[in-house]
Amino acid sequence: MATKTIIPLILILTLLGAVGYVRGGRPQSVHPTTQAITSMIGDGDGFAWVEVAPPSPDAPDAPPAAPGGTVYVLAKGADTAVCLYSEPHITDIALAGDKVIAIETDGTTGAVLSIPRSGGQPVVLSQGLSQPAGLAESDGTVYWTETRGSLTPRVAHIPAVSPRTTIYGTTGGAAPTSIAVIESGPEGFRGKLLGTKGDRVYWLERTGISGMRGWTAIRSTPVNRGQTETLLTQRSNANDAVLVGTALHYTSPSQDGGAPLKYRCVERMDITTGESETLTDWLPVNGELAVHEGKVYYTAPGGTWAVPNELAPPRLIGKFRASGHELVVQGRFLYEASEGGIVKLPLTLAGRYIAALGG
Amino acid sequence: MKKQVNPVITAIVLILALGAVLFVYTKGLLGKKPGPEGDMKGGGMEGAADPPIGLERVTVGTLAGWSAPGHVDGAGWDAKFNGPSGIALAPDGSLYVSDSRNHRIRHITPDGAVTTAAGSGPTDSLQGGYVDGPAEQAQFFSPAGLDVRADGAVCIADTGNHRIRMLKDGVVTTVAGTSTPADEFGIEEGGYRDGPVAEAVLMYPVDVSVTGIGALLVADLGNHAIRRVMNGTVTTETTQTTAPTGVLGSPHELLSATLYTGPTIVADLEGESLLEAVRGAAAPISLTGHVPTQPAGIDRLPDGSLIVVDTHWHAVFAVNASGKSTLLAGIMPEGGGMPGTKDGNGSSALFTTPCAVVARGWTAYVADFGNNCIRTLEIPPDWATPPPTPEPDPRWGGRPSGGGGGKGGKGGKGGGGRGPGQRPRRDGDRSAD
Repeated sequence: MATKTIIPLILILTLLGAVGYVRGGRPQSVHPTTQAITSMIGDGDGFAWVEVAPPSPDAPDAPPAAPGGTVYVLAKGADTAVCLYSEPHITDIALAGDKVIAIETDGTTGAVLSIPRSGGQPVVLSQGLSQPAGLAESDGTVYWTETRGSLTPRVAHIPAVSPRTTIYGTTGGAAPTSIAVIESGPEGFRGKLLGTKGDRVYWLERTGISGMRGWTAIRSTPVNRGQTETLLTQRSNANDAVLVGTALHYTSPSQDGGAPLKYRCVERMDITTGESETLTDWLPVNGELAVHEGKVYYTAPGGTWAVPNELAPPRLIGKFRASGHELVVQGRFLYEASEGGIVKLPLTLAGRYIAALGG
Repeated sequence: MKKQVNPVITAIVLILALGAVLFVYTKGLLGKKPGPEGDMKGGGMEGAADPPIGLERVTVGTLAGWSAPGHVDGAGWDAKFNGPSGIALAPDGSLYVSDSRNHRIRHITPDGAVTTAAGSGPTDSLQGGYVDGPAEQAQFFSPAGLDVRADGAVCIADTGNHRIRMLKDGVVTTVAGTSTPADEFGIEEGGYRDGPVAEAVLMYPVDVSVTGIGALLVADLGNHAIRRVMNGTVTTETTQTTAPTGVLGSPHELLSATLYTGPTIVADLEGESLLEAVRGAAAPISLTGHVPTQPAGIDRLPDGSLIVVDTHWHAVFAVNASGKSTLLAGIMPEGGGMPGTKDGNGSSALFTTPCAVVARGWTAYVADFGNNCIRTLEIPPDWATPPPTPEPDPRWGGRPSGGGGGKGGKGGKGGGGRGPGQRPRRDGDRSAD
């Protein structure tokens, strides 16, 4: 008798569990929009992104009049997103406590703004900037780059004649200070500022022709100017890096007997000792590293992988389309920018059941 | 009851299946049209939709440095450069190289031993320094073109410092140029002023050429001019160049009745032409064939032809006296150049932003900026003579047998360069991304 009751019950519970697991694994819309989402970043208080208007259906191939989009934020626990700054030419954002730092540009000149996360008028931190890019915030200082064109754009082989990128920093109250000047390409700064540790600012430079014809270098310099040091130089300019405390995570081409392959490995360098170790290997190329809640992820077209803390195969956490800037991991969920807006995907078993129950 | 399978029937089925697969495979191969390899003739010949390629008879190798940037003295591939942007031949047969991102002048013996001839301070950086004095203490800022006088003095276009420097007997001095306003990092702006060498002002001089009469011609990129340094004075030779990146004093200048009427060949990058500047007047040479479009460096071959390196096509050309231009090494695909890192023969070798060249007899040395190394070209004296057309081989649908050439094809194995098995594979040999 007991067997006749228990077995069907187990079967029903298993069936419900399976349904819940499958149902909860589907993406749930968090913020539907027809606009393209870029520069999606998050922290413990929520996340922010930039929405760029799609090309006009009448002229789909026409270039936009000016780059960028508008800033939206979604506070943690909130149901709906808020348009924080409706001016449509924001090209990059960074979160700095209760503020969103943004670059507004017409493609040539621009400004760095500080916008209260709760809403309100933006404060101009610096303006009249030439090709501003590379926004980052670290320890209360906002960093960005400006690039000034070369004397002769087509001279590609004389560094002194190349366009120059200057790294600037400001704490908001004082005038921005120039920190370092580096070689750049005609398209401006292609790297990214990684942040500061101690009295040094770290950044990634991409030089040369695309792919394996180019190079990625990670360098640092004192925030008060001084001698620039090169931490490492990697073949290919399709590499990325993130700085987590004193741990510099970076990608480099996988190798076979010293020859680079069409895969990527992730390595970690202790910037205080300079020692590196490989964490994982055989990831697809053209990916980016992202840090969410202290954990490092590798995102490439086709998937997102969690980077292990010590040598191990990469762990695929989802076959998503997003790249590093267009996803945020918070708690049990991953928020991804998809074609129809922002969707939420559970990362854990519990997350799938919570999602199935409408959580 | 388990059904038995006849092993003979099974074997026949498997053999038939294998035969079918082989038939389809070989049919597909034999029926395929000749690919790009077979249609490449070399020497920049026109081929239906195939890109022009260099000459198979030209052999491309690597003398020193390889791929990864750095500042390491040593032999051959063990040495490292960081953006070599100038090269010159010394009377003793050795080479001097401007190592631009290392802000150093390097010296290479004929067998490939690399040492640092002059320079100190930071390496692998945009900004260098400006210090005259003993070679090991001197500082440069992105040195580019250089040339060597008959007495062994090395003249250097110190581009970032807007000056012409000289390395002689282990001491670096300033030949021409003076200080100009600087930005917050101390980087000078340069300017324009003729006059005594200590007061003259240049703006991004990128190449120099020693003439037979002791003058020094300077490609003054920032001023779009060719300047002349002679008898302690800087003058302006011509301002009719839009972006001079290379300058070559004519060997006939000494023979010229009037000192300043000798022809000067200017590699004019923006003008997309080679100019023949005759004091105050510049006329483009009408080039035919496959022509360089962004020439960055030039020199002469023993037959009087020009050898030209081009940063757009990532290739090396030869231009004869009548203006016929021939692709010596590299590939010219439609839509732009094909950068890469590959030794071999001229039809398969690849360069990345080759920017300076110097010839010693029929051997040319190329500063391969993007590959951080010095390449060599062995050019046959009869390079301008078209090769005989091979007889078509009927077994392969009319494709000539043997050779082949072509990008990444078998032809690459035939050319000299580094021999297989001599050294392990180096980074950059394979284009992973």
